[in-house]
Amino acid sequence: MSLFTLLRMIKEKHLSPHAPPPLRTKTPLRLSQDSAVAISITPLVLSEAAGAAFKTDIPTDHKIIAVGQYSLFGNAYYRCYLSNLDGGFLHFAMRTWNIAETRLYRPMPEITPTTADEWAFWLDDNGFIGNPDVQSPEGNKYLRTWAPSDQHIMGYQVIETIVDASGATTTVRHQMMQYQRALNDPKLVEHLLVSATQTDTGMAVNLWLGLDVTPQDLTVFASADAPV
Amino acid sequence: MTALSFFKEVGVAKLGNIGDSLISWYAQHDPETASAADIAELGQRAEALAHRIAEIQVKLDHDQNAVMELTEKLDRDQKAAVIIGNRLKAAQDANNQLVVTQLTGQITPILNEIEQIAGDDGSSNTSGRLFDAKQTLAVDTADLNQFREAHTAAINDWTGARERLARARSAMEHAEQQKHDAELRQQQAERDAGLLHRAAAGQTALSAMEKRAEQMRTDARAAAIQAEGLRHVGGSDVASIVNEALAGDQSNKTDSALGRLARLTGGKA
Repeated sequence: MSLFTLLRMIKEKHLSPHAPPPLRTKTPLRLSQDSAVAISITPLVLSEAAGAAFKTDIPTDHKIIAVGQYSLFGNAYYRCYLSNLDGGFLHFAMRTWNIAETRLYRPMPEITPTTADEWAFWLDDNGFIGNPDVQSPEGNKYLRTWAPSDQHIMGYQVIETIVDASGATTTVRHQMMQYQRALNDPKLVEHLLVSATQTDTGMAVNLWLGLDVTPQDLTVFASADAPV
Repeated sequence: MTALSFFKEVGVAKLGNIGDSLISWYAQHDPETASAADIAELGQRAEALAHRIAEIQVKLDHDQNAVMELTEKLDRDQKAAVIIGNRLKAAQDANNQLVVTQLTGQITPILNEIEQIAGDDGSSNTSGRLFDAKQTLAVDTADLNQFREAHTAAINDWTGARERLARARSAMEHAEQQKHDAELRQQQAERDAGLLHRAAAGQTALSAMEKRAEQMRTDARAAAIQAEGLRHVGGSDVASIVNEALAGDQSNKTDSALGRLARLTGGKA
């Protein structure tokens, strides 16, 4: 089962009337499971105007259907998965309990390699994941932002723990790398996150385009039981 | 518990009028303790002001961040609104109703946000969250300046009072030392006077003893003369008795000594 299929199943389970008492993850801005959020379109408009591949054609009002957590470089990362954008999430990188990064990631089409050669294209010693720079299907060039250099490095392996709105827990193994490119506005960049994801039921390659947003761009309607 | 520790522990500021009365009482009966209590109160006040300044500074940082974030957000929202507005105008010109509807749906929440941040006129000069944030920042900045001035004055008062108390203590210690030195000098003078007095008394006693000894010698001679007179009753006249007695006294002494020599040597001398 691919990550996106899993998230769709989580979403369906969450909507079931027989959902168990929910477990809530303490998250930045109280964006716990079942909280609602309205994302300002402003950063999307500005980025699109500055040449981003990330367009404004996405819904901006969501509920949080699941929260993922993982640790990387000694920092805590949160993913608040969005109800109206399958595979899309709000990303928070934390320094202790201060928000260091706030991003909106929208998914690109999921890729499921079927042969060893296809997997090698992504994961080999000189595979796509970990290259110093990569090119998107639209032809945009992105530079590696994790350990940038002109040498290939292996993708970072992290285990993400996802708690959905019903309280069920799932783990996802990632081998991933972060890239970005400058936009026409010097204040703006566009991110590209590439990950070979593995769940209990399947593997796939997922790519997300990301934009920096600010906490002020998010209007949160915290669920009544969202931890403070 | 001493009065000072009482003042410190209870906190003079908390005592209010009662504390003032206590200090007044101590000022009359125990000036040093009262001064120390006053200084403790000044120190507490300076400390309380410092705490308040720290609180305001934290709030001020928050205020400044709020103003900065809202200003940036307003700037971005206005830019985004202009971008969508241009698209909307183009869509209206092209009579593309579908796009007009879509863009209107996009621009409406941005315009609402601009109104919330910058007020109905979008200037942030009369209303809106940014206006409120600026007002709060201005008030807190004024508060901070006021409390800083008060703190500086309180520190000066505290430092001045401590210096005054230190000087007063030093003056008291100096006076105590002077008094002690004066007492020592007086005692020494008394001892010196005593020594001088006792030396004179000793001379007097010696003189008295000498006089007494002379008297005793006179009395002894008189007794000897009397004894010789009794021994020669009926013989010599008085003058010869006296002479003999005086001479005899001398010879008796010699005889006596020779006699003692003879006795002691068995007559061999």
